Amino acid sequence: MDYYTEYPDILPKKHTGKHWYLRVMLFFVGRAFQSLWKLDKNIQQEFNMLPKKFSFAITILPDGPGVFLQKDAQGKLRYKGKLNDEADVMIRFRNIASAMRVFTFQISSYKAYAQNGISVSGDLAATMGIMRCLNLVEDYLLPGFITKKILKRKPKTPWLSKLLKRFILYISIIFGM
Amino acid sequence: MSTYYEFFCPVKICSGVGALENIPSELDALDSHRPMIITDKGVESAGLLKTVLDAFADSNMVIGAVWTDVPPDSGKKTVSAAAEVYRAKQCDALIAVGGGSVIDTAKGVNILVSMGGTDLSAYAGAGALKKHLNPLIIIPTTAGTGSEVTLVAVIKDEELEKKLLFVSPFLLPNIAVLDPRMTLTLPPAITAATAMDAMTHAIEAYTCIGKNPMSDAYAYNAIRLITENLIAVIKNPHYEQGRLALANAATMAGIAFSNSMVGLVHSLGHATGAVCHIPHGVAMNIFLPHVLEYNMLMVNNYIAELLLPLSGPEVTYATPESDRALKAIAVIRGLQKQLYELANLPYTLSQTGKVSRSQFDEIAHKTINDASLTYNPVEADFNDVLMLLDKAF
Repeated sequence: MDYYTEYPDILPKKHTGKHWYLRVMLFFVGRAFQSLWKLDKNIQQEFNMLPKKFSFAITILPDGPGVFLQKDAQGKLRYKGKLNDEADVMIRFRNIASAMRVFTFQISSYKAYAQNGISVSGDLAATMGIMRCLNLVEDYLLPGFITKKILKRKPKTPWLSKLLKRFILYISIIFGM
Repeated sequence: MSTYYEFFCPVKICSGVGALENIPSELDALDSHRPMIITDKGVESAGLLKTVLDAFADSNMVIGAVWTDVPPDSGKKTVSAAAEVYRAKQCDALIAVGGGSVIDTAKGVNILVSMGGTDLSAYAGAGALKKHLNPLIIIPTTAGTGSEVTLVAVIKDEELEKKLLFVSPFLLPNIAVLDPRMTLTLPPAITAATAMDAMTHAIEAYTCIGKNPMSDAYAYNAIRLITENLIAVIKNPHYEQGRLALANAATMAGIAFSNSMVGLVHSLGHATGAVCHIPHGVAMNIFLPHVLEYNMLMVNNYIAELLLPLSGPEVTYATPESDRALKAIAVIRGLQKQLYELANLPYTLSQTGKVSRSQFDEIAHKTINDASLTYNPVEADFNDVLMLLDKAF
């Protein structure tokens, strides 16, 4: 009997649509971090406390899309797309499903962490700072009815200032500024 | 409540009067016959080491070595030295007898003797261990930390002057032995502080965002056992059944928080401990009611549910549902006052004599950067932490 014919290998299917959706979402998040570093003093303060050349990455296991950000020699935060390098702080989604739940705003990143959907390696104090920045990024990028659901606490930014910064942010994301 | 959770505790619990005498047969079942005991001078001078050694009478075991040199804040050097003895004496299992520092040291030694090498740093972080370690039995001598059922070890790197965190399911011991003889000699102040540490583990496990039905069951009953027995044990330190109940409660709280984590009370406690050197259990006791008040806005219902294990059915059913959370916090404050009178356990920062207001900024910075804060239902910022410190002063 030919076992390979009788019992063929079954390869797991690929969710190409989900991969592309997450790739786009992570692109927005990465560019938003880079832009908001210039626009929001709270984010700037958080990153000023971190060492030069500090890097962090958000990836989706086992080989999904990712985003890599690094402070350059002048201390500016730079979006570097997806790099396979090990960053100082690595935030890893356990699988595509756990990333989808966060990026379709069904649960917060905190909740995903509490449910072991996200693992973190690297300096914990730096990770806490990045999580606070991620809150701010989400608050700028997303409408209020979503952030109300996923953020434990909404940042207190005056509405006019937020509207203006949000406008600049979207332009910056598109042009990579 | 979580839509998804994971729960893991493969540790066999041997609990009760005479539990120590079952260690030889448990080791035999693990195919180990030459254990090394790791402990500290305090345990030895309290006569607890002798009690453990006596429990091996008439067995077919050989105690390969007894290491009593674990300092209060153990580090890599202690771990390496103990591992060398383990290897030289060809031991095949470890028995930790002591509190948090001894237990973490034994976990560190087990990493080196099982994985090989001499540099413990190579195995730091989460998930660095990829295989089962040698048999490990833990006999806690305090009822509080829950380290006998947690998958974490914290060991100091003396050269880099930082604490290394080791996280792996393989760090869990094979067996935790809870014998009331091991805690009978604990002084009232330490009994009170460690019990309030366990109480905080249970309450935070029950009220923070990692809560789940399994850990809730452990947490809820741990709280009940502590409230039913703590004052009686403080008044009568040789109350054996009470001591055993507290030991069981500490282990149950350990299982609960190991699976659902802790929140802002621990963040504040870690930070205050680092800046002002307040013992962990004392810090937990001080901050617990303040943080519960702060979290009430988000988890009023969970705190309200705790009134039953905290005060029993009569008080609970006489309290309107809308007032139960506040009543639960008031019961904890009442317990604090009793513990202060009976065991001199501080319930304000000023009572410790170790904290000044000038240190608040540093404590607050460390608090908001502490990982436990992630699990707190309310996200505390710098100013909120200052407000809580002010209240706790």
